[in-house]
Amino acid sequence: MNKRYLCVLAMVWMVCADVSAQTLSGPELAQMIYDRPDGMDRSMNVDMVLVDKKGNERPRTLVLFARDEGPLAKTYLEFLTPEDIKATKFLSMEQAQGDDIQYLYLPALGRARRIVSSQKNLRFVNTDYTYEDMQRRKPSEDEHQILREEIYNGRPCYVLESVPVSANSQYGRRVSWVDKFSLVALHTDFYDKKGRLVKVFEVLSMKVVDGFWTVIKSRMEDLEEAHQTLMTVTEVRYDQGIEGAKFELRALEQR
Amino acid sequence: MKNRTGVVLVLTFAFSVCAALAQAAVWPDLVEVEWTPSVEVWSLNYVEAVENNDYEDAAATDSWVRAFNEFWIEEHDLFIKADGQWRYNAWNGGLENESHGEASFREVYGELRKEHYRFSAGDQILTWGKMDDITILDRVNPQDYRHFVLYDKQERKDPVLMMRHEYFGDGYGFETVYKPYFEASKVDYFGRNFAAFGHLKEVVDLGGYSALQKSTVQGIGIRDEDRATEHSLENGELALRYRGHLNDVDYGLYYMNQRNSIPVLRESSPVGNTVKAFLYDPTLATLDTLVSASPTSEDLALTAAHPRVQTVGADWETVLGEYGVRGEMAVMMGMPFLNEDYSYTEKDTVMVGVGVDHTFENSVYADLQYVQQYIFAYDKLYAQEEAPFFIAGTVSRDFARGKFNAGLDWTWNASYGDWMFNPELLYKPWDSLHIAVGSFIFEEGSASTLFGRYDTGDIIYVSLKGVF
Repeated sequence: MNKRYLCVLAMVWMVCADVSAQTLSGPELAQMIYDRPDGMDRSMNVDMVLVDKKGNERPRTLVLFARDEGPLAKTYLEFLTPEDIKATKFLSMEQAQGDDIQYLYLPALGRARRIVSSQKNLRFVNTDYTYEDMQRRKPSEDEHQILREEIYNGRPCYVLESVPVSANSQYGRRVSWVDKFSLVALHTDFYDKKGRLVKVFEVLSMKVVDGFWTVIKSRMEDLEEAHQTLMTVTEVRYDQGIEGAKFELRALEQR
Repeated sequence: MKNRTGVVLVLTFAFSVCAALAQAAVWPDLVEVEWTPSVEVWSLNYVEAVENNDYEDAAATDSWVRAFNEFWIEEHDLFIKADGQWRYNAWNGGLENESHGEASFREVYGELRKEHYRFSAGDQILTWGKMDDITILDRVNPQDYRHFVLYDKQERKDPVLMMRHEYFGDGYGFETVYKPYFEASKVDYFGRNFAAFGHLKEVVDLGGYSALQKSTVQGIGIRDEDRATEHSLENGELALRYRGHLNDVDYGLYYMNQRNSIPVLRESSPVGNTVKAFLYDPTLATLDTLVSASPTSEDLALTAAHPRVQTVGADWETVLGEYGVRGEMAVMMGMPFLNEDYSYTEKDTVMVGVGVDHTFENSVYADLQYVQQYIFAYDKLYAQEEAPFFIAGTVSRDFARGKFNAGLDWTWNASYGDWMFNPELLYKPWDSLHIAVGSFIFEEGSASTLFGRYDTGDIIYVSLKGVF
């Protein structure tokens, strides 16, 4: 069945059945978020701005392509500006078992280089996103608990706590405000393993595009460095039939 | 030279104007072209850390402006690249100041991009192999060694005319490269700090030598035999690569039939290799031997040659836990080496390299590479051991979200004892401007070793790079 209809059905089901924390478990909610319909493939043009604690801005633009192959996803990302990082490309391929296979293409190197995806705490090209943040976490990688329900920015949300099952995460726990209707995490607090709040992710705006809830503006803030990464999706398309070749080494190394 | 510069500039300008017109849809019905231009301005300025004598260049500048043009014509699956540059070099502080500028094309090629294959033709730069800044399999393009290793390998490469076909299967790929003409690597022989024989002629000319000794040394010259026929199809070169993925390992298999891009020098003097003996071992004894042979001008003219070398090799790359690991291996058949009597011999040799990189918790990046060579059927060679090895490393760290970077590259030729250190501090006041300050320090080793020969030639540099 088309994921778009699944999305609509899920929303209708939740509204009609008045799904609440009493009937929905944390793992079930986490699985629903993981399975949230987002098309078989998607492409996005993104404006990214890095903002330091003095308010200095460093703008970037990038394109992102993603494609589902069964339960696994492949993601291709390419920076378009500024010139000094233009043509820097990143390819991530989820694996059924083990860490993702990831490659980084740096124009100065002239070839795609296999990178270590298990070093999750490293920043992705000096943004506030780490390589772990760039990956989808499988629900089984965390223990999930719905802490409560509350209104966040005028929208009814579940407050979901996710604690990593193993030490294979840079975080000690994450607390997310998950919109009941879209299943989008509108706000996430990231705590380190000492229990300190270290990062905050916020959705600043979202809308339905081609039948799929899409985050349009978001902010990731590193509280320790008072540094932010703002992202604005300027164009998004779903189910365009993106070819598998886009997610192969040759796409990365294409000059 | 001036005519060539003018032609390049006019063609680059005309090409850009045509692209701009097409982009602006002046001829909307002809073809829809997506044009991506950019410009890079670069300037490397270095000075000798210690001025040793009057003839060495105390300061040098290498600057260029490069115009990059990429065109994508989607309806024909056609990609076109047309890059041009104007490069300016200056050497100051030696016996006389010198400078020159030259315009040239860089990569200029067209590429047809289909679902299962790509075909390109024109002047291109390729990157083969997996090692970082080490040449084992990455031998398709010649390199410009006129500034020694002040630039990394990728920047040293010169584009060459080639036809390249890539076929993409399900999880594998096959690549064929044919170069119709041979192009040699660029090497200075005399008169520059990083020339193969440095300032040997100036040393003799300014020293207390006889007029005959001086005139003999001044008469030494080098002709490039193969360059005379470089645009002959006899010099065609072939390179093949197969790439696959097996059990989480990316690998490649290679075959190359190419001429050795670094020249060997042949001597036709009837009394043996007296010229080369003096060049490689410049002592009073070798100078006396050379002069006493009464060489003619023809005897003093060495010939640079580029013998054919066949290479079979493989590379691989994967991750092990939190470490990236990679390697290359190449068996080179017919590689030229210098005998102890300064004649040349050809031998088979194998080079194996392994590299490991890791980023630590504190964001320090470290890369360590080991390369081992072995020469088959070895007998005594000039300054070349049977099984030499070297170790190269990089340590670097970004600060302030990449606005600053501190790094150290080093290489230790363990078998010969010579070192190279390259510490560098990089500052990016804006994304488009990079300013670097650094040094190249050459230590230990004898005058016949790669870095030892520049033991008194350490340099300090400032480089500026702007991209727009």
